Amino acid sequence: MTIPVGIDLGTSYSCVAAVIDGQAQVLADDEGRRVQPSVVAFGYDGAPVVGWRAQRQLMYAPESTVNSPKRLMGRRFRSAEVKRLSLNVGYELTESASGEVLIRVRDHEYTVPQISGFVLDHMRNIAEKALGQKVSQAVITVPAYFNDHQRQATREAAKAAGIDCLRIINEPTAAALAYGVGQGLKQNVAVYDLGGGTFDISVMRLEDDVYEVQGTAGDTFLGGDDYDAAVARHFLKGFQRRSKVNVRDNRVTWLRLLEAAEQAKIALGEENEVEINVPGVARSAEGRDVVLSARIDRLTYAQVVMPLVQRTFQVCDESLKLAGLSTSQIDNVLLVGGMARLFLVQEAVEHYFQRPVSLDHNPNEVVALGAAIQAHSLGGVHEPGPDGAPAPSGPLLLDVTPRSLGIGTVGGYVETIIPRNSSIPSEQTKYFHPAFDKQTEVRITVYQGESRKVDQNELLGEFVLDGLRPAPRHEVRVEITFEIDADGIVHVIAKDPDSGSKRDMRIELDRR
Amino acid sequence: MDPMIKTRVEIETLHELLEELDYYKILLLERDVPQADVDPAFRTVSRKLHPDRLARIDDEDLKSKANDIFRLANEAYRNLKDPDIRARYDMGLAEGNLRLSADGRSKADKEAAAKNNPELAATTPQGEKYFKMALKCWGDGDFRGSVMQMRFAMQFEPGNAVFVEWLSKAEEALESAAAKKDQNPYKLRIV
Repeated sequence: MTIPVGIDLGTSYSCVAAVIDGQAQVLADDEGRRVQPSVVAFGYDGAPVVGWRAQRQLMYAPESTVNSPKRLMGRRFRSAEVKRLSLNVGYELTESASGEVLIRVRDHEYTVPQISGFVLDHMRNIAEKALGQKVSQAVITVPAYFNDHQRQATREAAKAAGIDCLRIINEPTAAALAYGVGQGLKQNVAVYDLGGGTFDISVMRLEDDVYEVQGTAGDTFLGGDDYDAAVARHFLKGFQRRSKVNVRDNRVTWLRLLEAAEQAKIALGEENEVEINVPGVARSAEGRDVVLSARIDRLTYAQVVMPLVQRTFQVCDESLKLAGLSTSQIDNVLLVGGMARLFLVQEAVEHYFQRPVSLDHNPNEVVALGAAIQAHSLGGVHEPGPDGAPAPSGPLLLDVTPRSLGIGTVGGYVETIIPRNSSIPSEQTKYFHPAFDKQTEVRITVYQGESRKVDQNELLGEFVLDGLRPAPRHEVRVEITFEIDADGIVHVIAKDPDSGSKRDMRIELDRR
Repeated sequence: MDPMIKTRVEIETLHELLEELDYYKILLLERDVPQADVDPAFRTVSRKLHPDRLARIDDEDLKSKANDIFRLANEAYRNLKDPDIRARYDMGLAEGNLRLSADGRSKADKEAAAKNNPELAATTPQGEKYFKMALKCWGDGDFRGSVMQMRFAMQFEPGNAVFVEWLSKAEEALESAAAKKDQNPYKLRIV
């Protein structure tokens, strides 16, 4: 039997790990690098190159290099998010016949899962080399706040790479697994996960080997990229105030500014003040190239990004409320994700939770390690326990639905059937009346999201229940039951208890 | 021999009994169990019966049964871990209702939520609209407007307890404001 691996498919970087001899370990590439940029570059022959080599191509050939594909996962081309993103990337986005995003590189069109599939395949190759054997199964992590379309896209990416995805789990949950495994802890832990693209917070109860998610919230547009964009805008504003020339309004200029902002962010971890220089942002009246140079110190940087940090705490408030806990009841805070160690983030988090954060793990690796642990307990080979049974070993995750599930009702409102943060597997039933007298069929539309309005939620599927008794509307009852399994399959059953008419639908809803 | 035989028998047996189990029985608890013992009992059941514990067994039927069982266990835990909801359940259980209906549960949830956030109290869009306007008037100190908007809201949701409460609150405020005005000794207006 092959060893199942855990893959942290990150916005900026990806990492792969496996449990070897009972220990979760990061699998490094032949040069000993433990993480890989989630970047896919296409050469003249159209062959994809992934990771560090692709990263190097990003600066001089942005139009044929795809970075941060995760931000596009499961999104519609016409969504506001994609519009915003298209300004920040060097490659071209187009719309497919079904409204999905396509990435156009070197006259080829790729779906987003295909691009992410290249990254997964690259991680699998690294794992195979490190383990010296074939790898076919993996647990893959996603941000806790990913919706169902985004989770499905992640599964498609695994499929494109020929990987059997054992389970999709949430990044903060995975981090908590890696943190707590084998320690026999009894704690409330908050996982503050600030990555390249997204922010997640999960509050978990650890009781020895049982990990119960108590509250999860997040924002899929609140990561390091957004910090860089804020600082790049700051540079641009300052420059335009000082000089008369118009900055070139093109992608390459903007990408260079973003890169400068990222370098400033990294450098400020060590120094108090840094200088950035971005050549060729404009052409002066004399026809010379203008260099944008600026100095930024820690205080100014903090002022520029503070609104973004504050927004993460609003999300923290939300998750604590869902968990029914206050900051003083949190026993430990884990910082996860590349951005979490930024000088001002750590300080602000300690201030918010009123306690020092735990620093004894690597924020870039802990998610992959947790995924490996879960992969091991779902698919690994286990030593027989004392009674001869393969010991149901490894930690047990009691997870929740991160978003509410409901059905559309009259007037464009959603009635929640399974509220967010419900433990799964779960089952809930509600009763409805048809909207009109003598109505013999109803359309059941299934939505995911928190808004009360239909059009602000994700439509997951729909079906028709017919054979209703033609009678005054208040005499007819429709029974709607939602069932969710541990592996995230939702089963929606609509029933007319009087006529016995019954219809159902299965939706593969990926669990965290 | 099937190494999982014990677990298998336990799941088959529980699944057959599922319709007859109340929330205490599925978690192997006595009805008078101290509140503090509910959490550990749920974890004990989870360790044994959670569907993920069967992930490596190639038996879809058994897994589906484990999911059925654990759905009930989750429901039991969700309702017993909150003392208020547990008390409501106990009353129903005395009358032979093994499960708290979704409506009973959501009523308890809604009441709890409405206490913290009055905006959640409305159940119709129109009721919500007028209720929000009433709250805005209240915030502006316009008690007369608040009473008026509350009455509009009540036309759409006559039985809403939160609305009734707010209406009487607004009416009181309006009366006491009117009373204060009457007590005003300076009954002169600048011409």
